[in-house]
Amino acid sequence: MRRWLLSPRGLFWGFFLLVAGTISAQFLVIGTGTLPELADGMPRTRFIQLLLGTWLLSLLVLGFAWRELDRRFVRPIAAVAKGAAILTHTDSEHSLEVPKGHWLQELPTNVQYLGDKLQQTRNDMEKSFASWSERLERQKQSLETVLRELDAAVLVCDNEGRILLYNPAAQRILAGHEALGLGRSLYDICARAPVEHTLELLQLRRDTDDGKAGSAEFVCATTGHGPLLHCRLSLLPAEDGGFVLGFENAGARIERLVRRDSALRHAVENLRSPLTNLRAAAETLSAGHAMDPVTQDTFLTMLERESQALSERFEGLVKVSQERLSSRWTMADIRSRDLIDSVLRHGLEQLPQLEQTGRPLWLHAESLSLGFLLGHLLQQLKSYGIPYVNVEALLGNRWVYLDIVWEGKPIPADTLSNWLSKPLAYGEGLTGNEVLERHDSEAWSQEHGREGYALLRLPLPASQRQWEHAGPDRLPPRPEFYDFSLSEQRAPLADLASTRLDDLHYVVFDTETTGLRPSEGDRIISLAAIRVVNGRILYNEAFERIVNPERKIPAASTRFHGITDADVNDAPTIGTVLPAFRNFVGDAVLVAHNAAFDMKFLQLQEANTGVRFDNPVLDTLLLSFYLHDHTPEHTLEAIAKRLGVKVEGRHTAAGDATTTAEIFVRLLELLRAHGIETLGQALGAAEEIVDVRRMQSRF
Amino acid sequence: MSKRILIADDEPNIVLSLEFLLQNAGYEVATATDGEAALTAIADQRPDLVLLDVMMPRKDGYEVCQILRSDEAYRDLKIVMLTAKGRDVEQEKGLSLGADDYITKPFATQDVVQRVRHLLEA
Repeated sequence: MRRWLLSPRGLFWGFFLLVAGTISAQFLVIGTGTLPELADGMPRTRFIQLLLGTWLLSLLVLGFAWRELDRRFVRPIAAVAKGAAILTHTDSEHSLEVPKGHWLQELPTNVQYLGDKLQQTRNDMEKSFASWSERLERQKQSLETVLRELDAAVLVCDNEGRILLYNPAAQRILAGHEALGLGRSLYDICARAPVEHTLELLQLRRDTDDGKAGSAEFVCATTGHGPLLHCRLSLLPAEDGGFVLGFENAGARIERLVRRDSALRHAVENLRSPLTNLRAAAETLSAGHAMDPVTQDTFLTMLERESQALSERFEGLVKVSQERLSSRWTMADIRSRDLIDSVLRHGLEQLPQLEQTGRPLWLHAESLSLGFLLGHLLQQLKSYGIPYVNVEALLGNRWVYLDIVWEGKPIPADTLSNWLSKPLAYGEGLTGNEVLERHDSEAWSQEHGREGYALLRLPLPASQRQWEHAGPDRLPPRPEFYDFSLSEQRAPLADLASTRLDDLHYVVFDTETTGLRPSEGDRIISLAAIRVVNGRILYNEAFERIVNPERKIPAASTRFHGITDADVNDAPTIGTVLPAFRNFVGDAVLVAHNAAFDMKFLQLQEANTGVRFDNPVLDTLLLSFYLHDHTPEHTLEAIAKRLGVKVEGRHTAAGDATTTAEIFVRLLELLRAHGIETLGQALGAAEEIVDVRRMQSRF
Repeated sequence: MSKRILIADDEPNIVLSLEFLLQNAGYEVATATDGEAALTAIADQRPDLVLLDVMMPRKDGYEVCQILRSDEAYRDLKIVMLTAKGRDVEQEKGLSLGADDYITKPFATQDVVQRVRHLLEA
């Protein structure tokens, strides 16, 4: 009611009351003032009737006027105002509800028009935002796919060498390197000096050469027993934009080259001695010296022996040079089926109808020239009168046989060699024979094992990939393998305590042990950890090891974690695992549930492994106590349930570490809501809880 | 009756040595210096074995081999291919086209005689 009174309409009718009151008061004054002095000729009653009548009439007229104004102006304006507010502040499509018969002329229509326009603009903007973000997302996904599928290993680092991105190829080459991870230092993986030297060179080049830095190559070693890397480094365009490092495992390649070079040199050198001997013996014999039969015989034996030696060594040379031929750099791995498909996709005319059977095999070949050769041969077969062929790939020792099979007779060798001597419609007019020669191969046509069928066989170098197990891709479909916001954080190492919790890197870990008493000889049997960076759990940066405790595992503890003596027999000991774990942890903050227990096990190994963990430690148990002191339930399960975390793999180190990490990420958010923003504050909160517990236990 | 051998090679020096050696081993030897001559000689003389060089003018060894193998009349004729290229794949090609054996140059002459004997006595 009060609100109505204060509303424009309330005020409007308030004015009515005021005016009506004033008029009434005037009538009253006129009435009471005039009545006593009224001339006797006028009857009083008549005067009062007249006055009252006039009063009522003017009130009625006034009321009518006010009501009309209310109906025609005030209510319509209020309705327009309300509608305009809806149109302005909400997104719904709203039609003004204006009472009929108003005198606002075009106002409601125009307001409605403006509102509709506004709505339309909003919709358009929303659509354009949506399509933009969709495009961005699509581009991002394409980039992610490219990076993931890229065969070349790529790392992106900021200027301090912190890793912002790595792709699966990099992960493959650096397999098992614990220090590979987002936000970790590149220099924990490979030697610092060559990288920094190259960076300096490129920066210099950029400063002196109009901002064009290009890239530079170098070879550098990795820490531990990792491979030798052949790297190509390029600067990112921004002033402090960091750099891109592409690399490959140089070790294998260098070794191959060195081995081949030395073999070749050796083989050539080996020819020298029998050649010298042969020449000397032949010259001696042909000089026509008088020679007794025994000496002559000696010379002849020597000729025979040396020519035999020459033959053998020559074979050696051939073998070495063939090895060299068969690994040309223009060759690449391609699947037989893809090769054929690429030929078919070229849309060549005059091809026989073609079907492919059998399992596709991996070739190591020059796919382009080979594609042209295949196309050419298929065309020739068609014009030879073969309408239908079946292509099958067979695996030999060193070769993959690409057999083109048809019903009929083999192609005569002279016809085939005629086909193969024609220049292909490719590049520099290469002939089929030359393409085959590049692959160290020959083609021929023979009868097929199946009666009445013939085939054209192309033996092609088989790829090593045939015999390698592809191995499951360790990365999930949308892996967390990059985080460019890392480059916006400044190095937090200087003052950890005042560093914001969001800016720190964490390693959340869990152990399984032979028992609960580390000081009485219980040992770690399983150790697992996972990294948390920027509030994200990096599921593919995980560490998991079974450890041989070098003692019997009590049955009671096996019931708990399921690990038996047999499981740990072949596992490395803590002396091997702990240094690897140390590498994985780096300078991250350690996090565990009931961390004191796990830390005790780690610290007891300090003396005999020489590995120290002096990282700050956060305990999810204590943090949970601090945040939720209303409940005594702070087991991993209880917290997980409270925070809506799904528990998987309970009582395996990896499962518990993941659960703890998921809990920890949620606790971080809650801590921020409680005003705890830095590591110092978080450690303080934990200490507070420890003090409270200590006090409680005293009573 | 001694077995007959045809040597088809366009390299006179190697023909000279092989002819001498095989005659010494007790065979009757004829020679040809290109593919077509070899085919004519085989048709005329009906040898038991032919030593076929791969690289010959006017029909190479593979071609001769394929023609011989497609003709039932020569089913019992033994074919030994000779080549200067020692690649596995060529050996395979020769054998696929029906050769009975394959010898790479340079070879030990004794080895050739042995293989010939082995084939003819089998």
